[in-house]
Amino acid sequence: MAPKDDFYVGYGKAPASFARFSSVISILLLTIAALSAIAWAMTQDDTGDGQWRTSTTIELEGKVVFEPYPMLKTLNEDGSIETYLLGETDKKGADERAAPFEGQMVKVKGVEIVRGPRRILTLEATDSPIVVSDTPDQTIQSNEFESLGTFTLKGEILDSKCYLGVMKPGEGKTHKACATLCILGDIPPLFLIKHADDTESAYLVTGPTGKAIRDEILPFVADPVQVSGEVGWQDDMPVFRIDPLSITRLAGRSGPAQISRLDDIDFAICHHDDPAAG
Amino acid sequence: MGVGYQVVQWNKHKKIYDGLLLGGVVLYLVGFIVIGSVIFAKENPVQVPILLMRAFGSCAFIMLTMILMIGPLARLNDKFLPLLYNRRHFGVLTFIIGLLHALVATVWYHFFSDVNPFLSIFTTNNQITNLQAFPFELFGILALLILFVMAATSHDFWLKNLSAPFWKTLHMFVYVAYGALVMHIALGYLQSESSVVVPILVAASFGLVILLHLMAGFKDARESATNIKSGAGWIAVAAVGDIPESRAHTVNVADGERIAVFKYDGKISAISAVCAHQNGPLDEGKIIDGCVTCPWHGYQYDPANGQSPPPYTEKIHTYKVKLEGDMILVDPKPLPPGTPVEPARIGSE
Amino acid sequence: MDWLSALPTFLGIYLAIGLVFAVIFVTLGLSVVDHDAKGASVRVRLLFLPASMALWPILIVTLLTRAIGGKNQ
Repeated sequence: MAPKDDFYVGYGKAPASFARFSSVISILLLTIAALSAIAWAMTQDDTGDGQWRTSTTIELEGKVVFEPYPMLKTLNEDGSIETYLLGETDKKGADERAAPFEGQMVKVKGVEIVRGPRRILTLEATDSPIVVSDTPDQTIQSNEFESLGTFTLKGEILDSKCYLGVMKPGEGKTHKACATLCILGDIPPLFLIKHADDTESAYLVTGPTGKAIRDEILPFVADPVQVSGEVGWQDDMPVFRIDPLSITRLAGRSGPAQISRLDDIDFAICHHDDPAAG
Repeated sequence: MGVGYQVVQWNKHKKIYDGLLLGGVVLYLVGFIVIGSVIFAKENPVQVPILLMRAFGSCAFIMLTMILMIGPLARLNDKFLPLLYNRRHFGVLTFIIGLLHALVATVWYHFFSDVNPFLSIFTTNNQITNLQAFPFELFGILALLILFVMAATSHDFWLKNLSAPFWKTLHMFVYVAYGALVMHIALGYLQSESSVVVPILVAASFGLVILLHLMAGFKDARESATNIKSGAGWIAVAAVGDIPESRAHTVNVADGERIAVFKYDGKISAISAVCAHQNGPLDEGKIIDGCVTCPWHGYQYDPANGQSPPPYTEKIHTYKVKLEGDMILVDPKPLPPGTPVEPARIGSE
Repeated sequence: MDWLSALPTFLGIYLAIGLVFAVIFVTLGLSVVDHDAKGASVRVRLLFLPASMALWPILIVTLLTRAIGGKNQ
């Protein structure tokens, strides 16, 4: 018997050998697709415990300060200060709308974004989210900047709003453009440090004298960098007063922070926020 | 084509093909989103817009990888021809999925600021002199634009009216698109995420595409090796008994198109082995209903004159052929497309 | 304007011209380029719109060539 000379023509009926092969290949390709989806989706990084509490608008009472970014200093029950960065609902800082209230005690309505000890409040999109409060302005006294020394830190400059919870993930290369847009819009920048024990710290980034910084850091947003500057505390907020000329990009991902001073200072910086650490 | 244009000339195979394609895409997207947010998700899963972005993007990459494997696979084993038949639908769908990825990414990352988002995707990250900080978005935009032009011109109308060589060159840019896509993923997602699984998946995909192309290329080179020149005059190419009924013997010509020598109904004819449609291998075709049929999309030609049966108007080169006893001789100088040539009759000499 | 900003601007202008040309082309110009396209349905014409938008310079050259070629016959 002559061997079959199967020939496939798309607009006709497929010979059985072609039909069988196509079935097998189709199942194989669909299986590969499914496995790829699982492998890819499963292996995405954890995005951290930032929370964007969009379902509730809260009202906070505190003092508006602009050192160096619009912030609200509130009082905890035990009398300690809790700092909220302020921002708007889009990729803009709250500078314009908070400016008239600088130095005053106010009531502010907005949405809270929280990650660990860091908080940012985005002003409600109504006409007057900030109103002057009756409480006397002297109720809250912000402390002076308390320096811990000069350090060289490895980490990532990014915008506070996205990192703290609006984006998940709100860091890294894929987020670089968005972070740049936010910082361009005057959202306060943070310096993200990942420690060897998988914890993270986020310090407020300012210029060398503690003033707002923006244009000098824009090219380096979301890149793994090494930066030198003075580290210290402003109330409950760790602040990194950077020397913008010291910013150097690092090859590869930033990895654990390496401090050019003693490890116990690093411990003090990253765990100061943790009440258990004392 | 000689026939009025339709959006798609549907038949059962195309419907099954498209059904499986769509089914596969839906399976992938739903699977990705469910896995990324619910089952096997991390404690703090990726938020929905970014998950969507990644689902669409990774889907488009895997689709393009599969598309690029079809060509070489079909050259290596003709059982893959059904995958090739409707490949253009695969391509158009890939563009659509890529477009969805781009739209979600543009809205989520570039809207809500003072900068025009469609300007922002090009300009916000302007660190073009540094590889690590490089705006990977530009690679994505390049890939998308190429896929757009390919999808837009995938209809036979464009194949005909942009001229086949230009159209073919345009569609060769799929390789540039794929390279750009790999760079887009490498300088974007791979830099942001820590797992080694995806880099391995991307590298393996890219490697497999290259490997298959090399294998098909070597096979082609081996089989095309020849000294025959088109001005050579009559050359003996094969014995009658060497050619299976209704099939062809391939004659490679160093400075011209391959020739397909067909045996059918006691006759021998020689025509170009290059289909006028998309350069399919007519020498691997079969005579069906008296016509040479191309294995890629089923275009047909009368072996005696190289013309497509009416109402079709395609024409290919024909070649003079004669028999000396058992031996088939062909003159490798191509006659103008559509020239009738009296077939050599077997047993008449 | 640095060239990174010039890219999207150029692309935008190119596609805007392309859109205007494409609408006219798929309505009136299809059969000039290809006799077989005469009487094409609305769906088919819409299908040809994106490529007409993307490749309008080539189509303009083709149309001109046909026009000049037609005059010389």
